[in-house]
Amino acid sequence: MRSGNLARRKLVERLAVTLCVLALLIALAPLVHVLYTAINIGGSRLNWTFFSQPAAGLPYIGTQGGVLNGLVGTVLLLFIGGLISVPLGVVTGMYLSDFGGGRLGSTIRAFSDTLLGVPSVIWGLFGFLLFANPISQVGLHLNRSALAGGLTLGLLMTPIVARVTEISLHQVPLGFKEASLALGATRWATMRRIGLRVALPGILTGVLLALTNAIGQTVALLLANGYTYLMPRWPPWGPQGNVTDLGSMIYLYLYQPTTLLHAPAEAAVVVLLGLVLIMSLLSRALTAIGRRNYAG
Amino acid sequence: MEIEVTESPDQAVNAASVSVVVPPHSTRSSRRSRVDAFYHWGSFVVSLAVVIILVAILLVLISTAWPAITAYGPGFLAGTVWNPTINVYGAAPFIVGTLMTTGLALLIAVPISIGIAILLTEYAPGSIAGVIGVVIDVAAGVPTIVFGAWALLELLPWMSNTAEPAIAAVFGWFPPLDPNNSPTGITGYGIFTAGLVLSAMIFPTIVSVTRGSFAATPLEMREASLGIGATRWETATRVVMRGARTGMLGAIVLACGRALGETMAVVYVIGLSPRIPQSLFDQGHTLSTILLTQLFGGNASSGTMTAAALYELGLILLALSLLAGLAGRYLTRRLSGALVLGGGR
Repeated sequence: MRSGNLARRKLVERLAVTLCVLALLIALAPLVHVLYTAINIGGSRLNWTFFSQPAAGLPYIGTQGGVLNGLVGTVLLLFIGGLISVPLGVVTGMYLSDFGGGRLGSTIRAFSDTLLGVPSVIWGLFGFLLFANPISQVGLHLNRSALAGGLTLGLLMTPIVARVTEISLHQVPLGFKEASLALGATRWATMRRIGLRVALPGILTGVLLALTNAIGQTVALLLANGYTYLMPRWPPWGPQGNVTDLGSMIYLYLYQPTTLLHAPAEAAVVVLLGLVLIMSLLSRALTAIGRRNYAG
Repeated sequence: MEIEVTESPDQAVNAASVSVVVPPHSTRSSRRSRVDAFYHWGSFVVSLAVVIILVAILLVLISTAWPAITAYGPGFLAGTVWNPTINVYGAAPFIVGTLMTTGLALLIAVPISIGIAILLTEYAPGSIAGVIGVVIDVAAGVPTIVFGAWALLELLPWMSNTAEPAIAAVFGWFPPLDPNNSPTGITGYGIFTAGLVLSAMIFPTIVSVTRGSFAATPLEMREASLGIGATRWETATRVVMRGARTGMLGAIVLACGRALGETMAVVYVIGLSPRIPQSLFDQGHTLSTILLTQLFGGNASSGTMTAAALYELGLILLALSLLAGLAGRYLTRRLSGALVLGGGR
């Protein structure tokens, strides 16, 4: 490296760093403005009524009432998704961690990782055809409903839970497992008593990550769950089985030809962002707990 | 020393005595091996679920799209007209729309993101870099409908009232960059606005992964570079970035995968017109927005040629997304760190 022109090189560095700071400001500006817009337009609607009442009002449903239908529907969809994906994903992660060293394991890992790249709209097409569509040749014919939407979420969450479970189990110190096996415990007992217990915070982080990802799968839910303005009804399948989720609620409020729904839509954005933020912070806290666990 | 032979593996074992206990080939050891065999095969069967899901996605999409695949053949990809009323279906408008918005988003987001990653790993004090890093990581997980709502209510009016007239004033002499030159004139809607939203949405992904690959540079290499008199900027561009080339490329490809399939962030601003965009400011459609708008309305549920053609568009989108996802994951396979979720939403 030429040592000459030090002044010029320092000037280049200063210019470059200024550009980088500028890049950071340019990139953060939309994020800040997204948040500002949500609070500015939706803030006036954020009171107790908004959280405790389902959407109401005429002629545009949503101009009155609140977001309760969206909150309850979102929770129901996530619950069904978790019910499917947690057992499937955790057991897959266990298999990959304990027996996944060979070619079979690599194949399953490759399929699982490939699923991570499937876009939401494709999950929606798949969930619609396989679970919802009443005239599909092969499928469950559930109509667009909470069960069809929840099953779709369950499938798209499974590879995430599997991957994070495997990573968390790999981080369990080898000595812990060896000690257990040396004492004569079976691999199953070692997994149940040592692996799963030590890796639990990591696995829960993965479940939270999958749930946070599932909340944002608006297209998949629009296609598999459909949309209603009503609170969940029994049964959660069939023509009246669909529920409201927050993302679809925002999409359809803004789809209506009225500006009256802008405020409730942005208020729902604030609620959605709040949920995502809480879940992200929770998963960060769990990661910290997990680190302590691995340290033994 | 007392030697204790335990009958059940569940019973506590005195650690000091274990080394001298030789497990007999008894019923106990065969029960143990049966438990483990059951665990092995049971978990294997469950883990086949991910294989079945991917195969099922392909089978379901291909079988539903089959009438269109056989009717139009490979010409479907190049067909420029999409008109269900006269049963003419071509995928080119949507493929071009998808590639244009994704390309524009990458063009804007990549230099900005790499600049930010250099700033965060090489210059910013640890605490500030940490806070900004958390903000960017959380932003990467924000549901994209949030960006879509913002784009409709704030970005769109600003584009049509302020930004596009300004661009027209500056680039009026250069037709490809002149908003007035697009068939619909200045509306705010179109490829350009959609690309802007996408770039705001994908930059956190690029920054997170790029930061990870920058941070993987060995400290000795940084010290060696600084030690022979290089400035920190020269170290960043000639040592850190050179070593992290593969990771950077992986970050870009993963972000590309997210942008390709993105629906909710662009559906309100792209204009939803099913023809090949004539310029950067023309209105268009992407593979994912046509699928949402046509299939959510329910006017093409299944069994019709329109539905089959739509599902073939879905197959094209799936192929592009999986290609980007696999390449991105291959390029970033050496990086430890947060799991990057591909797939547009």
